[in-house]
Amino acid sequence: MDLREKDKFVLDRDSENHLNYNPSGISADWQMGCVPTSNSNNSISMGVGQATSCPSASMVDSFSCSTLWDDHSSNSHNLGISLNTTTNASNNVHIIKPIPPPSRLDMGGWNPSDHISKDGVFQQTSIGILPPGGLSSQFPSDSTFIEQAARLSCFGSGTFTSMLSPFDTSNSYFTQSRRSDPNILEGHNRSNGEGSPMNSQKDTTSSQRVGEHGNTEFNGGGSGQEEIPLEKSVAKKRKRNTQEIEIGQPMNDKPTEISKENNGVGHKYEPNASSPLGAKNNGKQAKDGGDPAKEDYIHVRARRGQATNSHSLAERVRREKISERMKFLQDLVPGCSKVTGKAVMLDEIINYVQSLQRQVEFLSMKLATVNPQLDFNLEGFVSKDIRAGTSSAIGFTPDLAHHFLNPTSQGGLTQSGVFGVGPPSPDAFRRAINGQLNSPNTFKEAKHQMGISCDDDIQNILSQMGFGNNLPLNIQQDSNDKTRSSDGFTM
Amino acid sequence: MQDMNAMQATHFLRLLSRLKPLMAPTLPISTSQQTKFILKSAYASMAYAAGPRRVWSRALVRRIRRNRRRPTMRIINKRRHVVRPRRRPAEGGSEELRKVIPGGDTILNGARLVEETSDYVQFLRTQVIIMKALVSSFSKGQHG
Repeated sequence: MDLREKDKFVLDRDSENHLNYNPSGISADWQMGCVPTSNSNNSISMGVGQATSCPSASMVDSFSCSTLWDDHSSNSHNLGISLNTTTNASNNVHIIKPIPPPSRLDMGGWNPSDHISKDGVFQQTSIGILPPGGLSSQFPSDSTFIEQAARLSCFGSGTFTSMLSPFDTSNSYFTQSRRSDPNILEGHNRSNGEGSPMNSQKDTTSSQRVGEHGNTEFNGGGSGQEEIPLEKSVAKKRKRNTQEIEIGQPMNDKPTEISKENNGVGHKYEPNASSPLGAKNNGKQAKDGGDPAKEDYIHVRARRGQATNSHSLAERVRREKISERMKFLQDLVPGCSKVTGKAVMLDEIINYVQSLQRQVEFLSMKLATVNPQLDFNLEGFVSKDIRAGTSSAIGFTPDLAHHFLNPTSQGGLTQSGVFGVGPPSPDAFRRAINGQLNSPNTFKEAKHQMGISCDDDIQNILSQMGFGNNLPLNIQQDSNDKTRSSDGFTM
Repeated sequence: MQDMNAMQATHFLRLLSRLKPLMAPTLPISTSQQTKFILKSAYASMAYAAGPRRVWSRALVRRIRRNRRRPTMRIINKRRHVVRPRRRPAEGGSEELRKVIPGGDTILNGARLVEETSDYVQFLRTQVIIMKALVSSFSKGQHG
């Protein structure tokens, strides 16, 4: 029974596909994302061992980040604490050059944070380890730290509760960041450190904006995609952070960065993001001065990126994948190529799928009425049906072949294209069909079950197919036009 | 793809021919019952042709079997309910898509969802074509 065969693969594949579904997709990204960041010049250089911790932390990142920010709100007054946590977040995310931390670190206070972040998990326990407030003096020497300090200070001064509602409070975040930025950022070389958060922030703002427009998942990567070559080196863990803490860290730098860099990159949502920021004053000017310098370091910045950068990078790659598949889907669904914008396209796709399902239902009803005895004679019907139906189906399938969806060989395409030529007999026709489509094993089995024996007829039919026939590919157009499939091609 | 179309067609017809005596032992069954039977076998052949690799094909098979099975089998299905609530927070605009695609709500990854959607669309389309051809062949056979 066919249903029993289905049972088998239901039992076999159900669990494993569910289990493997996310980890394979996610861990692969993480692995890919972790490796390139080894070139980054992060101030805090964690060993390569962090790479291994990244995948494990990847799943936890999104959740831990949100909790992390919640904790920050309680400790908002403490700069050092917030800095430490964000540093940990960023450090955990990025795989940095395997430079021993002590040599790289200028501040002694960061050593404990290094050890903490080496665990590969966002830790709020680190808050207790660092001396409260003692870190601010240590930051000036390191740009990354400065960035983080700047960002954290902004968050510290602001209210974290607003962070949790990304779509409403993006403006409020910018205001908060503006206030505290000039205090910390002045006089510091933030080129390296800022690059990554800026890039990530760009993603988050753009992603947020996209979310506001209702297409977080599909459009969010639009702004980020342009920076992919820059940020690809950054660990992809940033992707998760951006998804979960969309308003998080990068908020501070985003306004200025967006105004400067995004224009170059051509992001759509930049004006939206920068307009509220324009209202900010001191912080913005301080940052603007550093922006041209930062732009030169874009590549470096991306690699050194903070946690958010890696997240946005990973998210960018993820969005690329989604857009790639959406393009294929666009080709499938008729009338979708004209539509721009994923929301409308998505609606189109949904409508199309629903219409197809309704069509199947309607056709089954029609089949029931046409054939009340439910008498399906396989031999005769297969030949007629395949000739009428699958030839047209075959005709348009070449358009649909896609590398990741249909890895089947298309050797029989040319032969199938001329399928519409009038065959001498239904049996021969059927055999021809089977012979053409004989690549998969299952079809051989079908052949046997259908009583097809000799391949000589197949050769004859195939040679007869050489007449050449143009199958008008009107499949997509007729919705309920039953006769069209058979009349659509000349026999 | 062409082999998938033909395979789908053959499976569909085989299902119909095989299951008909099982589903409707008494010939005069109502049209609605026939419709349901044909619909089920259509989706079943679609799912079978797609193979177990697809989330939607497995979900379709589960749905079909669920309809056919007795309620006593619900106990086995409890595991399914545990799996479903797990959902990725960032769905984007794919909520409705998940409702349409069978088993879509279990797909967490957006890219995977789009992939499944395109696969599902392809199979749906071929199923529609097959059924159209069947209907036309039947009506042609009846008329001449």
